[in-house]
Amino acid sequence: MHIPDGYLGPRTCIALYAAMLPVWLVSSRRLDKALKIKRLPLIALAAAFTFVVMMFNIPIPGGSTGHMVGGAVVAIVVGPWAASVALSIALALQAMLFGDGGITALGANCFNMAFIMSFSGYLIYRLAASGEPTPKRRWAAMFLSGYVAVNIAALAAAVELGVQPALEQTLDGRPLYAPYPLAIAVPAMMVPHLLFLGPIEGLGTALIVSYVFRTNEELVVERGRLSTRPLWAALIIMIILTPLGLLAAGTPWGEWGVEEVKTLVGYVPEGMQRLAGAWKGVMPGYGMGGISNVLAYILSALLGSIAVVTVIYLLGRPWQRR
Amino acid sequence: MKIPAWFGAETTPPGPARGGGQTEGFVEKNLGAVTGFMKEVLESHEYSHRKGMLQAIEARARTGGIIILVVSAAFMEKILSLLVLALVAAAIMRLSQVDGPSLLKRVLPPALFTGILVIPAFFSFITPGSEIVGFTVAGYRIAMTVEGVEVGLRLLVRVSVMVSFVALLFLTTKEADLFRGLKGLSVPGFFITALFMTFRYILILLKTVEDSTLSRKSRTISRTALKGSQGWFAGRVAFLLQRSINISEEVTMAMASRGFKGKIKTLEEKNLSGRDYLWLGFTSFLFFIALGV
Repeated sequence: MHIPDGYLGPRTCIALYAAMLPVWLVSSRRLDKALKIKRLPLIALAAAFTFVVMMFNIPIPGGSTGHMVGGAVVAIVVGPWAASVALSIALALQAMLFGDGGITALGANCFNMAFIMSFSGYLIYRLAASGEPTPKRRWAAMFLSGYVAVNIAALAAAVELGVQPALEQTLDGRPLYAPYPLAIAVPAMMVPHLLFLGPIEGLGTALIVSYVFRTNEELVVERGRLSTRPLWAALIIMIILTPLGLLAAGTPWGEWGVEEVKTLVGYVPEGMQRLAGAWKGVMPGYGMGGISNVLAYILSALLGSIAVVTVIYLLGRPWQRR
Repeated sequence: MKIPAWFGAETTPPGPARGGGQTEGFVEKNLGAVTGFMKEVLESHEYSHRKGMLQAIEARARTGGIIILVVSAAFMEKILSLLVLALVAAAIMRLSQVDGPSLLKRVLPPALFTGILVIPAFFSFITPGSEIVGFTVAGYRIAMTVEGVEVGLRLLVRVSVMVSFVALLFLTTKEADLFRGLKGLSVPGFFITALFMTFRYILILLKTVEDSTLSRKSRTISRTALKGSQGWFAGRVAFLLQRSINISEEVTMAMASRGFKGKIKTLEEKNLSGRDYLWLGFTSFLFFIALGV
């Protein structure tokens, strides 16, 4: 999953460095507040641990071995903010000293493995192991956390690689960097992760964290107290990033109107013709009269997020009481 | 520091942990990964002590210049321009007394990976264009295209050139100088200190891994069951994690008792010399050229 130098264009590299900058700033500030002197050795050792874990070979069925990233393990044990910094440091060392992952792609690699993987791994574990989990549910939560987190990170890497042909082209329209579009990059990255590397990450996470849990329960329970702050931060970032979709030219695949379908396939299926336009939505086309597209898009995202949070809150209340 | 000859020599593994004709087990692979890492670290120490062009340039200027060259390669569009930059990398390698095989060892794995990855891009089903050679299968035309070869080669050369520059920086720079160089490039002190400490801890943790893996290997006389191997792996890694946290607490107390405030003090930075400015000027010149080619 370490994207080497040369696969991503300058614009993507700059954008992902920019995306990581607030994460690094917030993380280091949080660690500063929590007594830097106390946290520094822990961060350095968590980074060293991640570095070493990435070198470790895990025995898997069939006599073969595989590697894991370890992002979910570190996030569950030291928390997602500290894990983001620790993984960023491990990735920086790998890029600078051993050429594993690129220097120009460091922002992207940190975004995928240090940020996305740490936070998703941590949140999935805390949600799946919430309450008083049985040992089996806890083991399943650990497995799920590693499995899903590495797949989300892989999906992010696949999208970054897959958008290159559309973003960076020569004058005659040929790709300048990674040559495969999303339709190829996403399955090529996701199939091995879903079937092979994901289970390795899940198994590794479950084996390590459950062992830590058995030998030093406080380490996982005390350090991993659930906080909804990271969730809110991620939600706000996603809302801010929403207008990126406006940069894309053309209609998203499968979201064609009847006219576009007619142009693409030569006719409009009868059922589609009948149902087209039956429901226009509250805000058709994410538009609002008299407001610019970008602002309307952000407002739509904000309203949508509020709706989702409200639904989750309402659904969650009876569940919390149980 | 010179690498002793016995360190690089191929040896047969002691003991019956790996039988003849059997594939490498995970214990051997782990040992191989640890010794490979140590070898790379020692090798870079050897080159960083040689008298060469890059070694003579001040750490900040060297790091900054190489980063400029890497970014230049990222901006270049023409294969020919990238090949010229490859020649620059080769010249720097020669002038810095770095051996070709040592550089190739670091460049080949990503280059080979990229080479395999770009093969489908050579063909018309990914990159349509003017045919070079082709054949028809069940009425479907598959052809290698000029444009496809261009797209694939461009990526391959770009990746090789960029990796070469990063490898040259690593081979000619002691890690302490590299981190000092980053400090000079305004990377926050917190990260520099953490990088310093992480590098030291990696060596400590790897020694722990090596010891435990060797002890496992020396006590293994036949293939063990998968569950047993996975249990051993979990135990070792969890122990490593536990040890990391214990060390961190001990180090914290040691640092606090010595009045350490969280910032590493390094030897006084030297001022940049004419040679350093010349190097930075040269790399910046290539960068501006890269923007147009």
